[in-house]
Amino acid sequence: MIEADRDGLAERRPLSPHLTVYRMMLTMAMSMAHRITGVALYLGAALLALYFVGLAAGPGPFAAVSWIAEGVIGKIILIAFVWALYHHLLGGVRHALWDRGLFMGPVGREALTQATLIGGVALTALTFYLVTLVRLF
Amino acid sequence: MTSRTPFISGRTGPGSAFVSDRSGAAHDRFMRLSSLVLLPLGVAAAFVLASLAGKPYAEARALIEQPLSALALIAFIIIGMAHACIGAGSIIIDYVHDKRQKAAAFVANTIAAVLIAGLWAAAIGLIAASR
Repeated sequence: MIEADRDGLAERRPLSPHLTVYRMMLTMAMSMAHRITGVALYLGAALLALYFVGLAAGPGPFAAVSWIAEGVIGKIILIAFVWALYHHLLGGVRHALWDRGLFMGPVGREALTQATLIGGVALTALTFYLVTLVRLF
Repeated sequence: MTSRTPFISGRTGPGSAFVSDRSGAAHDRFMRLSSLVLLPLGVAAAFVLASLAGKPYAEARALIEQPLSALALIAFIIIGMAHACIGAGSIIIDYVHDKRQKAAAFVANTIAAVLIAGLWAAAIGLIAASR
């Protein structure tokens, strides 16, 4: 990393208005949620990696990590991870659409943001429903 | 004579102080490309992970042993952690301003991402190979 600092210029630069001067809007909250779910997926992946290592190591080690996918805690972890995954994924779709100039109007962007918010919850419910119902795997 | 201001483009002169290490464009392209690949992989991973809920040892192994679910999970974590590493990197850039702390955070981020992807992929590879 080359640090961007020449004679303290970076320190004295004018700052653009930040969070505190804006009225909270759904698009803004969803932008934050995108980052938060991203970090949550990072941490969740670490936990699931531990689960897979236990599963690969044998029944003994598996007993020590099975809580990650078993019981009430395990179900909460998996549902939260899958929801965060869908929420983040749909956030990406939303940004891809905006990149192409679609849904940029005051009504369209709000509708799209609401759709991705509801979509994440709906896809999570649908996935767990299909998996228990159809036994896809 | 020139009509250009001293801040020509942010790439030269004092304006370049506002620019970081100019790796932004490549990172941005990678994030967009990887998110495109992660769209189908993420959905596949979501279904496999949801199926794992409450499964005892033998059943969980039987599920991961399937070549399709093993392949989906391995591809998902390798591309996903590369994506997550750059994503976490931009959070570090935004919130960690101390030079040393920033450098340490970048190293920790890279090690964590490689470790998570490596352990996950190796474990699933082992399970799939034992079939």
